Amino acid sequence: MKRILTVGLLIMAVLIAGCGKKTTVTRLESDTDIDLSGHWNDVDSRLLAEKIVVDCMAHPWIGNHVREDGAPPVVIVGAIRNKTSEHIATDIFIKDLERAFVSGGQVDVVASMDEREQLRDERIDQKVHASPATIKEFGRELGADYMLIGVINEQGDEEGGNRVIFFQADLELVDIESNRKVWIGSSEHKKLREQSRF
Amino acid sequence: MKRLLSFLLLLWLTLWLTGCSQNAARDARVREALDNADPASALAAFDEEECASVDCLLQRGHMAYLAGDYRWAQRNLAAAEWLIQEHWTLNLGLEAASLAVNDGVRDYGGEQFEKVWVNFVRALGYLAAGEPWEAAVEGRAITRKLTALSDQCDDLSGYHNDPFLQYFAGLLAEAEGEVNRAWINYRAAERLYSAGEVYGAEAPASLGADLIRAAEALSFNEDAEQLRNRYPGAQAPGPGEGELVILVSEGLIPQKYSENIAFPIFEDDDDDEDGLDALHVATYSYDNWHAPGPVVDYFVNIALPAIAEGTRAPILDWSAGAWRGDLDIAADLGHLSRRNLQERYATVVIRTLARGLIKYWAAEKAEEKKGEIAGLLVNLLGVATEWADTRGWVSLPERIHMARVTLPVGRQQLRVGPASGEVEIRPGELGFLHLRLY
Repeated sequence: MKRILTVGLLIMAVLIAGCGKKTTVTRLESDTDIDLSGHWNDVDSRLLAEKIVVDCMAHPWIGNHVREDGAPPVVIVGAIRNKTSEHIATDIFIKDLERAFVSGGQVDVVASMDEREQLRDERIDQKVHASPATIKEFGRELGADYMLIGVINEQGDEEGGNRVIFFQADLELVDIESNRKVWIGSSEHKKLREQSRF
Repeated sequence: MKRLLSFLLLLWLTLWLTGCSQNAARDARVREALDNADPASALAAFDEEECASVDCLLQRGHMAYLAGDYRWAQRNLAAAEWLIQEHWTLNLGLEAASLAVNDGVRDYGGEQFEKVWVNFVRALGYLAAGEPWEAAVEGRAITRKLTALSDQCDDLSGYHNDPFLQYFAGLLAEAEGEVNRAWINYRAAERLYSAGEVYGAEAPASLGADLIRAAEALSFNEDAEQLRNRYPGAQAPGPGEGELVILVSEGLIPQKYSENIAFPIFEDDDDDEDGLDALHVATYSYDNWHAPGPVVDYFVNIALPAIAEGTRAPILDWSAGAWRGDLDIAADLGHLSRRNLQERYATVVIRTLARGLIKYWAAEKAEEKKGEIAGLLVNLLGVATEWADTRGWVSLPERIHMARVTLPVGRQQLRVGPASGEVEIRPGELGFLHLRLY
């Protein structure tokens, strides 16, 4: 009887352990690379953005522009379409691209359409409320020379608990005035998610 | 007495824990609320529950979608997807426990079809929230999952693909302007629908026209010619018209239930060669319940899952002002559910028999060591804890009806039976409207 009771209690222990919750929270540096599920995350976004901007800056379009205009090119990051099977916050990827451009120091980056609306509202507000010496004027915005547009694609293969995911960002820099594509580049990122059956 | 009390406590604990995992009462409440066309009450069934299982998250997410809380729906359904992936790794402790108690103590990882249909409901949620680009992501997730499933084995041998979901993913791709992807989905859907007995539905009338349209857009002239011969009469929308995909979820998926076969083995069974124990005990207890009878050596209780009969499919039509037409049955989830169970039935039977032997061995050992009463109690504990795993996504509809229709541009009020919805038809665009018939 004792043995049966022991076996029974062991089963109960396993069941109870299964129902129990154990949560711990640890603060991490924002650049710590952590992959829990294999899905697209902040690390993928940052790595792809950094790689592709390095490639973009290394091409002769910047030198050509400076020679012709005598000033650094002004870039706006446009729409980046998500064509993967994951819900990617493209806003974060766009910010990572902008950050990488600004950090590179070779180009000027201007605000997006939504951000510009906010800034114009602010200038309207300044006209009424700010001291005359500090009011910012209308019509002095920096117009972009080029727009960066593109897509994020995914190619995958999976079997059982294992999955290989290949993310590729294909970006193009287009001359806003002439629609000429001055640079086309891509950046890839491969991930392997392994999960054992037991 | 002390031992008896310990044992009764153990029995109570086991029943409580296994009952906890079944959640039959919650499921019944959800279905009753849906029967009454009241998804808000169905969602309220989860108010006091911290959903930590796949079936609970799937249902709560589904109910939140039907009740119009799209953010909450996505959070629950995404969590369900994550948990399904986690449960791919088996918990050995629970697996072992299930061989001693019942299959209900294992982690529920979702039926094969539920793992893909979660993306269908998520896509509907994004469409309803006005985020078609996110719905397109779900369409791609459907394609990815179905590709992985069909890679495992022949997709006409069981649930290893899904014609309706292929079609739906194709429609989402087309709406996004991805005609090449749509073409691949449509072709897969056509092939799978042609094996109607496998997936339980025939191709909706609109599929032929969609194939022709995609082939023409991709300049696959030879394919387009063949398709035109196969599907004559397919027409493209005219100027000033837009297109709408009407999806109607109807009924409630037939529920799983536990089919128990219980019979005693008598002490003198060695001499009984006809093997009709159940018949003997039934007739004996009916005729001689008051008289002393043969001594029962062991009670056997075998529980296997079964799926209730489905309902007869209604013929549905839609109307929008002067425009009207028929809807086709595009998916039969009752059929998919049965097919799914059929496929894994042999494994369930083997596990059930193994558990039966373990329980028998435990009772024999208890009797051998501690006497008849202990043996009987262990036997009764085994009988009481034996039931089939009937967990599932019980809020799913029984069928999906659909039609792809052309309507004049502008705001249209669409009606299907007692359900109705308003939709904006835009020129050259493919819109979606989902209605739920209870």
